[in-house]
Amino acid sequence: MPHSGRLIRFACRLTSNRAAAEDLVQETLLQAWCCFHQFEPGSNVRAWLFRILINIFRGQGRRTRREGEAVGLDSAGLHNVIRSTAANPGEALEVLEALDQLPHDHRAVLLLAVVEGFTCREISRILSIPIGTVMSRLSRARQALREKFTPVLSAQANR
Amino acid sequence: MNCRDIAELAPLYLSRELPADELREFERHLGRCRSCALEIDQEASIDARLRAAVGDEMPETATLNRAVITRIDAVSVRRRQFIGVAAAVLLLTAGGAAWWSAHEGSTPRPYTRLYTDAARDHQLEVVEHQPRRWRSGAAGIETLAARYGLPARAAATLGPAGFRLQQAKICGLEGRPVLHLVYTNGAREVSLYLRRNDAQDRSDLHEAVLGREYVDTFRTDRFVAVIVAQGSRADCRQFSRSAAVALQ
Repeated sequence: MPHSGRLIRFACRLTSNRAAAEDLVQETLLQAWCCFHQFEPGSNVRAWLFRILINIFRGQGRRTRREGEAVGLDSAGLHNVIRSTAANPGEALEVLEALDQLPHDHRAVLLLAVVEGFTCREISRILSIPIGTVMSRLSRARQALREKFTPVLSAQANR
Repeated sequence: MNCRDIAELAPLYLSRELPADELREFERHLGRCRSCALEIDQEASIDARLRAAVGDEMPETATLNRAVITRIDAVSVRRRQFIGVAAAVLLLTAGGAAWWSAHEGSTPRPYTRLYTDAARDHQLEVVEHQPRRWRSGAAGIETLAARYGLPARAAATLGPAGFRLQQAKICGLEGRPVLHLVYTNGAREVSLYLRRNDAQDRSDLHEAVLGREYVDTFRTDRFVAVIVAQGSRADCRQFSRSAAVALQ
């Protein structure tokens, strides 16, 4: 399936749990199949799939809170099951750990913008939030990562 | 534009969404304000690091894709209502047309979710060795097995000759707890998932191939069992026969 790789990659980072991510993507693709009549021809299929995924994730979050269950984090295993081809694996791991510490809503906008390449307007539609909220969340998410990596970035700037 | 405008519009600048006139003003400000230029450089640098860390990940999706198609298969009884819709979405799916042709006229299969959950669980926990709390001592395994109604020392004798019981734990399939036993012959590992047949279910059982996982199932009056082996249908069938005889 053409988009399942991108969806699973996004879901893994969003949930920090590979099994939960696979469940989420399965539900997303199944729902897309059942609700394809709601897809607007000519619009972006990938954005539509991400929107479905986000809505299911939010629904699961509400259910989890209602049932009082702890969210299962599995970051130790997560890095092992995703094969990274990054040139600098040590740095990549640090970045991913910093990303995992961001709140879900900040993590989602950052991943959609930077990794998936969606515009702020597209993200606004995917997440059903105003574009101003997308921009402020993006700024805050980048700021949080910058604070984490300030020493490295400063050293680079002084070179 | 002042420094505050730059901070506010930075997300649109980095995603190349600024209209041409605003872009010119934005870049003019960067040209004369070292502080803002540094901020934007650092944000771009963070983006590049994040893309390098996440963007190169190569998740394996074959098992997931098979699981989704199997679940679509399970709800295909409603396909007449969605026939135009399904045809459209299958066009998005590599090989979708061939699958549609092969499954035309199929009926919903019971235990579909059980197969896909078991195949995925085996892939993650046995093949990829995700960290889990396994019990590997004989006493610990016996305690778990007894909770699922297995007679004493039965768990160790379910596999065919050459396979020994390696570890056990409780896991969830179809949202229900099951006993997960892992056997090895030194070269390959086979998972046996076991739960009580409380509902005295008489639904048909099937073999399935999900990605690289071979899945076989059987049912006795007391148990529903699912066997999963990667890459070897022979292991899967041999194991299934042996366990079925032992549990009768």
